[in-house]
Amino acid sequence: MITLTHYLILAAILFSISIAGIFINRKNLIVLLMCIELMLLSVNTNFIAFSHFLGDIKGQVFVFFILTVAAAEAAIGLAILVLLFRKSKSINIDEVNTLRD
Amino acid sequence: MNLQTVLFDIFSFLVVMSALSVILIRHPVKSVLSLVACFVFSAITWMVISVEYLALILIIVYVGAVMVLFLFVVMMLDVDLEAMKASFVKYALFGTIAGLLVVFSIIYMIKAQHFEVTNLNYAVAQESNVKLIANELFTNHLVSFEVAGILLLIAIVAAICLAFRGPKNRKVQDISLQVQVTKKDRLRIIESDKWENV
Repeated sequence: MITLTHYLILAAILFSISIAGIFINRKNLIVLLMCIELMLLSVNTNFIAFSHFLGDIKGQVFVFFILTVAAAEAAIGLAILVLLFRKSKSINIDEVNTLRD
Repeated sequence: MNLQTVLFDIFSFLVVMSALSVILIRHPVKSVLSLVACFVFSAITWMVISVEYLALILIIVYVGAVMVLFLFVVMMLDVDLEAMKASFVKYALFGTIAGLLVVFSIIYMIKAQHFEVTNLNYAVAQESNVKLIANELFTNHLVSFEVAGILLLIAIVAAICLAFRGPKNRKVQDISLQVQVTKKDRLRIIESDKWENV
């Protein structure tokens, strides 16, 4: 029998993998964006598990909106990435310090 | 050990494995492909608890559109792979420690509170999932739905404004150049006596 705990642990593992990915791939902007997508997926899994096991459909509606926002975020993030690559011929995070300097 | 449990075990294992390969594989295209696999497998784990609509939306819309956009961008960028490899070992220890810390703290919290909730309310399973979501979405969350549509529109406009390079090598009108034109640019006076014998 699957319980809520199974899904929560799966989401926790997924979330921590994406946190570890952000630490490991600090230089690569593409992988950072993909780690954010993974994080959103784990949050969605949490929402869906609670929605199903507590019998409240609102959680699934919320996941619908999260998917919308994630799509918008991915589109704009990739547009910024393309722009950055066009300007500096690299997507290394260490070279993206124009605003700081 | 019923079918649901077996399916959940297999596909959650695959989700974790493909998520690990997303962050560990050095090649960006392969990394995006394993992200696609991760999304598909987790859609199947959603399907196991009969969340059909969102599972299909995740595969069709999210994998079909957003991840393919990722794939296009990654394939178009000519990334210097050697520079990316340099940081890997340096932060591997930090990453592992942070990940383990997070996962154990979350699991400890889940265990301590005893979320051993099985299926309390069968209303979700009885009716069609799409029907339930549509009822909730179009009665209580209609304004949010419209706002989400506007958000997508703004995202389209923003993405195009950011990535649009402007017309180059194309035969388009430039209004300001047309207005600034003077008589000298267009009109050439030719001595008329040169043309008498032609």
